Amino acid sequence: MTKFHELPPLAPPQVGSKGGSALIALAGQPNMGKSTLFNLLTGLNQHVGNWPGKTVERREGRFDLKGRLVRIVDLPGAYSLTANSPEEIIAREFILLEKPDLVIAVVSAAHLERSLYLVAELLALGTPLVIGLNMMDVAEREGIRIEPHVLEAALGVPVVPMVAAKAWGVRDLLDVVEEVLAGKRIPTPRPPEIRPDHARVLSEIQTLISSYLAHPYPADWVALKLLEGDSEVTHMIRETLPAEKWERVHEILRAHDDAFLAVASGRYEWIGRMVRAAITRPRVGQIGLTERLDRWAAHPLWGLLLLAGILGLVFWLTFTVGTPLQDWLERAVVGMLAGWASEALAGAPFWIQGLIVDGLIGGVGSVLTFLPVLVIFFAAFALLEDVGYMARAAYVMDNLMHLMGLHGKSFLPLFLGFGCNVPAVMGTRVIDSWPARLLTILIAPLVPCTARMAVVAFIAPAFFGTNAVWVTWGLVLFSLLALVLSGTLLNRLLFKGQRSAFIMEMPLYHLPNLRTIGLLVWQRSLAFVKKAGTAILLMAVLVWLLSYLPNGDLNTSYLARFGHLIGPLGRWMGFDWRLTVALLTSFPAKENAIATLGILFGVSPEAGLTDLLTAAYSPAAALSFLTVTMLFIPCLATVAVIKQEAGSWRWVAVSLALFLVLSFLGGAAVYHLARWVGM
Amino acid sequence: MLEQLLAEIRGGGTLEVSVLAKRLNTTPDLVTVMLEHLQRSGYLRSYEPCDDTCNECALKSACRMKDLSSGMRLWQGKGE
Ligand SMILES: Nc1nc2c(ncn2[C@@H]2O[C@H](COP(=O)(O)OP(=O)(O)OP(=O)(O)O)[C@@H](O)[C@H]2O)c(=O)[nH]1
Ligand SMILES: [Mg+2]
Repeated sequence: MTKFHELPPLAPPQVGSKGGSALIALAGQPNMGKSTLFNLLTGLNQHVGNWPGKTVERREGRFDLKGRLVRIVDLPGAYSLTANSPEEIIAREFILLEKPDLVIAVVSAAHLERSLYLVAELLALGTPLVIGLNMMDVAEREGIRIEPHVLEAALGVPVVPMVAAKAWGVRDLLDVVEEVLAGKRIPTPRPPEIRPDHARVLSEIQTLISSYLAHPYPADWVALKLLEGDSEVTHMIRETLPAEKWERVHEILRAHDDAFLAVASGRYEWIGRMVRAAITRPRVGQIGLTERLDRWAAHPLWGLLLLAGILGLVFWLTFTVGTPLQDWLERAVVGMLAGWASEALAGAPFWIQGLIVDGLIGGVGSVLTFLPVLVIFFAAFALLEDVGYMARAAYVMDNLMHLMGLHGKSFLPLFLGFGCNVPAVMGTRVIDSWPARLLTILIAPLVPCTARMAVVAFIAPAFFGTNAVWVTWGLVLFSLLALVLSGTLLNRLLFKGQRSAFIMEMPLYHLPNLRTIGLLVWQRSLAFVKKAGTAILLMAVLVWLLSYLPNGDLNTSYLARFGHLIGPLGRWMGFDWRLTVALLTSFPAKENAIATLGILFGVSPEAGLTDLLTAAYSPAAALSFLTVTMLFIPCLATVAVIKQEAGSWRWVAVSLALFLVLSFLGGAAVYHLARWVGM
Repeated sequence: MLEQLLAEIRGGGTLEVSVLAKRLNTTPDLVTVMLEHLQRSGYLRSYEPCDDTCNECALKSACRMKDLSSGMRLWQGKGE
């Protein structure tokens, strides 16, 4: 064990030292205000160096306390006195070896829970202790009411409230320090008690080692640290003890290898009691508000209901504000544009007219009418994200999956899925257990993404009017249910129900920042328009070509022939060939389903696409189509990242098979159920 | 109390600090402090949703993971 070197002498303080001298140490966890207090007390009378053999800064200074020369050392921040870090070793060796006349423990009134572990260890050491209850201003600002007197009575040592940063309360602290140094006040530390069974073990170890301790460490402290499994102390004792004695000690320690937890546990129970006694009003304000809101928002049952309610509200808003705007765009803008283009292109070859009026305006134009609905979606989700709600939404969903025995670590990627499934699949990289990651990759596409929601928002109001909110809401719940069920099933089947823990502390709720939200809505809208101009446009041209070739008649076109070929499959779900084709063309991008329908039905100023659709299909078929859209194989981009992230075509095949089966069964069931109730 | 916390963690699943606080009949702050303690003693490790793997990701600029998880603290059991 190294002894600490003496520091070079400092210039003596100006004041005389009639009352003798004293050595004081400032101890505390990091960031409690030790150095602030140290600077306040010593001013320029300080020396900065390094602790011997360590890169940790050592600060020592001097000041005059009512005629007494005080040497004061600013110890590095330490969480405990166990050998977990160089700082902790320095702090404890200084206290044990240099034996300061007094230790000032600087603790934070705003984070008493955080501060008291070290205090528990200091109390057990028996050094004269005074507590500087710092950061009283922060505590007050956060609405915490704390009773220093109660804490003082419970700890058995003086507690002085203070604000080091404003030099408030420092005089009182010095008065108390003076009284203790002068012996006018004798602290009677009341450390946490040791469990009776451990007390017995401790005294056993203590008798074994006490006659061999040739250094200044107290035997009871060494015994306790051995029981806690402290690496340094264990090493030291093994070196000092004769082999057979060490064997005995080692045997006892092996029989109590859980003692570290028991000892620490006892300290935390003690901290809990201290905090309950000393804090008469807990935190209010932002943190208090978060705690109160989360009693509902993060509750396994109420949280789910709240999530369902919020989703309902978003859909209601979308349909009352977005749908009329979309209708207007569809009739006034797209319809008018189609009529105007037909006239302007009257002299052009028929195929140019078809490509522009049906393909571009009918197809891509119909998709662009989503924009108002999407903007409302984007804004709503950006708002929920920005205030910190989305983390809760994902958490309660994950909670539900956890109830069903699913791995608990997938919620982060899943909550990205509400925006787009591609980042959700990529986001599974944060899961480092491979089975859990694969499972999350497989189920992530069941999180309804914005593109699917846009298709729903287009079709649902046309068929279900004011009930569209309920239908949409039901569809989302249905896909989430499908997610939970297939997750549970896959988990049992493939991964035999592995579970491991994942612990999270939610972010605080905060007021939304309109700029952030605006920027997000703008970026996403721009991305959507870009997608309409690229992937959707390309597919629309292709679909139009196939619907036009070989002889310009839709009913005998290649597309129709293909549609009739696969039509029988769709019939189970209530689809005609056009719906089946629309579904298949949604593979490059989900919005293409609408573009294709726009091309196949043709738009005109008299009738928008929604009117044409309601005339052609029953509500049962529409409901089935929406269900299938929610559950169908994800878009091309998502499949590509599934291949990339899962690493093999085998898992892509499993994923495609899963969604094909799910969507087919779901669609057929919904269709027949809907017919049965007379829709 | 630390033993109880560790028992909850060994039960698996997604655990939230305030829920743990309720189960242990204590404050969320104390649970956080204990989690940090378990982390320092090597029972848990803290967990970064956006670490080095994110830097090589093509979607980094569009990804919301960082924003969504900002202000959130996460831990997981060792060796998972
Ligand atoms: N509001 C407030 N801030 C304080 C108070 N005391 C200290 N601070 C601030 O808290 C921060 C940390 O203070 P330090 O004195 O560096 O803490 P420390 O205990 O020396 O930290 P380590 O050296 O890391 O162990 C600084 O920014 C201080 O200005 C206080 O009473 N109230
Ligand atoms: Mg400091």
